[in-house]
Amino acid sequence: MTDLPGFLATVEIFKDLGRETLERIAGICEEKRFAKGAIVYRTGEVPDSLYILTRGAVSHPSLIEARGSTDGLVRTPGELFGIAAVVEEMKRRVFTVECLEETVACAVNGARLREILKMDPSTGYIVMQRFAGLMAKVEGFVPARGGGLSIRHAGKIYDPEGVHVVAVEDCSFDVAPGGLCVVVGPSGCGKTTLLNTIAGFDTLTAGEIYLDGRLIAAPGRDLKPGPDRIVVFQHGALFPWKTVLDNITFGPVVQRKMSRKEAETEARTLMVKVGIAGIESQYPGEISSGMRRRVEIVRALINDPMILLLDEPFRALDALTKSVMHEYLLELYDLSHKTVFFITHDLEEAIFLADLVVVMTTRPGRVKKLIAVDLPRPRTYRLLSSKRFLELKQETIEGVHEEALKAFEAGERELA
Amino acid sequence: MRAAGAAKWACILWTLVCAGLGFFRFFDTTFPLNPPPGVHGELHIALQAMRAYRFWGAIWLAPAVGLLVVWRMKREVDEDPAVLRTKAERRRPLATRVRKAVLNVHTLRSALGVLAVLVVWQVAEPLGIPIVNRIPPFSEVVVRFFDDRGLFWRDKYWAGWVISLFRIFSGFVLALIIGVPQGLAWGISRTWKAASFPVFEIFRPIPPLAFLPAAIYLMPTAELSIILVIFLGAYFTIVLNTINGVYNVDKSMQRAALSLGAKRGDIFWKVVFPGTLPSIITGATVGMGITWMVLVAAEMIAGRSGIGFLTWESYTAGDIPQVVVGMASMGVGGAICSAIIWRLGNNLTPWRRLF
Repeated sequence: MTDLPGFLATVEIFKDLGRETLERIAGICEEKRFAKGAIVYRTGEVPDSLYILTRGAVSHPSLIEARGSTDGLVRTPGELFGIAAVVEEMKRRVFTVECLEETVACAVNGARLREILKMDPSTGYIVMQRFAGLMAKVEGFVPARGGGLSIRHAGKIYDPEGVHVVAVEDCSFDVAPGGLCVVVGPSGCGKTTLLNTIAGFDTLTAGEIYLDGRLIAAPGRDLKPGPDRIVVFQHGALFPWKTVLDNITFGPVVQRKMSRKEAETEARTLMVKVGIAGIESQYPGEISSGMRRRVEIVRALINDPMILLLDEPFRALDALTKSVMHEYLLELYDLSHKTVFFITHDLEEAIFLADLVVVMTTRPGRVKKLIAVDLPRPRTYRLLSSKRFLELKQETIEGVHEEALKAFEAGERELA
Repeated sequence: MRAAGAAKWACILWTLVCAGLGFFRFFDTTFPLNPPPGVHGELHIALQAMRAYRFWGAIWLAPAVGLLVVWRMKREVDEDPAVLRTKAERRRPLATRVRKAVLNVHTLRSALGVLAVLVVWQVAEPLGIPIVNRIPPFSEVVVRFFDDRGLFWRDKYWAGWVISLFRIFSGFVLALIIGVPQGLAWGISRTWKAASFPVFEIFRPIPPLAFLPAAIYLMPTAELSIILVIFLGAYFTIVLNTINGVYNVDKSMQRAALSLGAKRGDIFWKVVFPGTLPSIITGATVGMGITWMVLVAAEMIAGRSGIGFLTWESYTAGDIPQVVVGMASMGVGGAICSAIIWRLGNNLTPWRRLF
């Protein structure tokens, strides 16, 4: 690149920097070229460079509300990724960055950039503040280690040649890492289909789904369910032939991540932590349904998944057990801050649990409304009668009721 | 624990080899024939039958004992309350344990049921209950069984037990060894099922007994033809139940396993197989009943020994009480076999005892 300082001046975060400082930064810039599909860095690596995009696109969520970007990924020249390198306390990369096309980016050593900025007496500290602000914004949704889910124009058609049932159509939304997203909608609106595609049980026929910038579902891609996204099923899927302890240790043992002994120790500590100790040697058939749900959630959590997919897990429970299970789930969530993708048709449940409520339309399933729930955490049952809760509930009901009516009428038509 | 796993598989393999080698004894065409002079014919057959497995059975026993020891040792490591409870139970004096096992409400109820049937049987004649009163009363049958020409005192009868049980065991185990893997394969693979299941479906409606003439013609010995027919009786039921069992394994269970990081092999051994086990046991129980039905007919036609043959012989001799003795023997034999399978099945599927 001929005029590197000039290019750096257009980068939003370096705005107001003096020419001298920009030249110094340009001096430590190292232009790097990546082929399509190359991995720039992976989750968990220790960072040393910040990257400034000059050309191409990468699978990293856009940090600045960029113009040009249609899918929330870094596409516009001058956008940044990998700012963890500049922040001293940040020890690990959060996202894996894969190049979506041929990409050129400037790598800037984070530590040296910090020094250069400190040397600029007039505006350097402002830029440092901007970095800190950006990081805070990122950190606001990255208390956990990733788990950001990004659904882009997802579509699923069953039996395209024959009956042609459109289950999901053009569905796009994002779940922040560590966020709790609840999808509500009338039955048969494609909620479970969406969950199955995320989990890797089913293919998409359109669009993409990313987990931490890693493509996990797209048309024609192999199904790869794995322990990074674990599903808790509607009717429960504990193995009745295994004791509770064996059920919980199933994941780590089958992946050969731990020996049976280690896994059992780990499982016992986890069980004590969540208050279900003492039922280790019982079979799932012997314990209550609420207990079974808890065991199932523990079985998922012991694998340390990126994201927890819950498919109407409390549907079969009675109202009292359900309310206890909500508080229990929230407690676990506040402790672990895993990303949670939760499906339900119970509105109250949705608002009580969620950061983000996604209201889906009846078939074909589209996103009708995204409702950000700004109720404070930790949440308790007192919230249920708070004014804000009722407002949100009203807002959601309006969306859902219309759809439920449509679904009902469609059902009537089908019957007639 | 790796060594224990290896030992387990070695034992299973060894059992299969021994069973197979013992079974080949039946290909000896002189097997049920040619008793040495001075030895009673039926007794000779029973002895032969026992010898057929004795050698390989003895060799089999050593690793089996080893396996048991390993298994117990593994259990010792466990300190689950359930295991501790069982251990405490085991430390009680034998007399107490026996008394508890026999004299409980459960067995008393069963005994009461059997007694009721026997009473009805006994009083059917004096009361004139139609059809039932034509059966010789219970007391007469018992007397016929124990009088000086009674079956109880004859080698023929006890040898019949041995040989009949032996045929059933051979045919039934063969049906399990062949039928279960086949059912699992058909349940798992659609391609394989489409290719080979229709053949099975054509053979299935043919009653096992209809195979008897062909079996007699095909098999080198009469013994083998009886075993083949018994095998067919149990085989079809076992296969069908196994396939159904595979289909009934909850799909979400397999998905959950996938989601937890299981590979294809894990899914089969840790989800599909244990999920199918209850159905296999049901199939085995039903199949065991069918083997007894088939046994009698096969022995009537192809055999010269066994309980079924005795019953038929008594009928041709016009000795109706003795026919009833034969029938009762078969009933008791079948009930014992079923009880053994139930027991084994419950031990294999401990989680089902709860439902």
